[in-house]
Amino acid sequence: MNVDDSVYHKNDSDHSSGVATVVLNKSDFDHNVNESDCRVIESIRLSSKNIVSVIDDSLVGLEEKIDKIPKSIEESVGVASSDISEAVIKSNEDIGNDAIALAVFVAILGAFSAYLFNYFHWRMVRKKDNVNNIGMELIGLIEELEETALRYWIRPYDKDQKEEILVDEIRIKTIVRQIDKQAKILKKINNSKMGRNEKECIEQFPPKIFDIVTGGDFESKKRKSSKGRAMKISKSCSDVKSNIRSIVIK
Amino acid sequence: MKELNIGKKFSTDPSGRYIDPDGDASGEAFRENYLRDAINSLEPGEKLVVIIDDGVESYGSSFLVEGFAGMVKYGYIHPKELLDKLDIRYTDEDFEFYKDKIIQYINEAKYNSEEYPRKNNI
Repeated sequence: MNVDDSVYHKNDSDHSSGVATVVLNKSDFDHNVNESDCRVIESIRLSSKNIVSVIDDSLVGLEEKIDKIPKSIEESVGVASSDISEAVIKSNEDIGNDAIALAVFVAILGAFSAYLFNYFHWRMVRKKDNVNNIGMELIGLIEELEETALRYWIRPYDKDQKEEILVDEIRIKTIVRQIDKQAKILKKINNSKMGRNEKECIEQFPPKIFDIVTGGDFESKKRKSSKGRAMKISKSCSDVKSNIRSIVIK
Repeated sequence: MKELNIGKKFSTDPSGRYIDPDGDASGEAFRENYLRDAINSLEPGEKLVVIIDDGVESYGSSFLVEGFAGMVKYGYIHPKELLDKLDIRYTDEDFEFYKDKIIQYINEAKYNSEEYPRKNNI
């Protein structure tokens, strides 16, 4: 029996290759193993050796490949990282510029919107104030005309009061002119918000009240008191005042 | 083209309807003594320019009706013919109101609907 002693290692293992080997004691061969068994064992040993060497070779190749993989990955990652970094830096620069431009644009747009809102808001407020002022002024003029005209027409001409009567006549003609002027302004600045009836009522009031108040025997020494004319004056004035108030409070 | 300046030729204070009792600044006086003569003196196709705001502050309806529409009411002239011959002018925009009223009164007047007391003398 020429079994190499070096083979007989029991429970040993090649940790470096990571492959476990079957190891038998020499005494076991001396007493329990015959020649044919030895041949089988020898062939197994050789096969095992070949397998181990093939596996070792493979492992070495694999190790080399595994070693290379991280390097290529590292290289690839490195290149990619570099590219990405550059891209990110470039993108950041581009995005940074775009973001600044966008921010400036948004700020300008916001400021412009605020300006426009302010402009139109205050324009509307001013317009509303104008409408209110002219409307209230018009109502004041109508009330003054009503009071003067009623006093004038409720009494007949009296030569003892000709100065007061003359004052009323002058006042009536002047106020009618003022009413016509204010009514035209009110219609002009508030044209879009006035209904058809309101427009007609305000438009037609000055010529209508002119006919009633300065018609008949106006400025005549033959003038008699006219309750009917006074009633018409009062009704016309009340109607137009309520119309103007409805425009003013809108 | 002839011109009738109310403030300069007639009165700066036109007022009232009739000469009696309202005097020479009344509508009747204006029509009979100024407007009618001026209209009658026009050549065919000629116009009479009436200036209404030169020195005059305001008018009353009684004066305007008697002064202008009276021409139609007493049968002196038809409304369309009168409007064709008249050219009412002003520089103060407020007087547009009186121009509109004059045109309205002439259009509304009924031709020869009343007999004027002095009609046969003119």
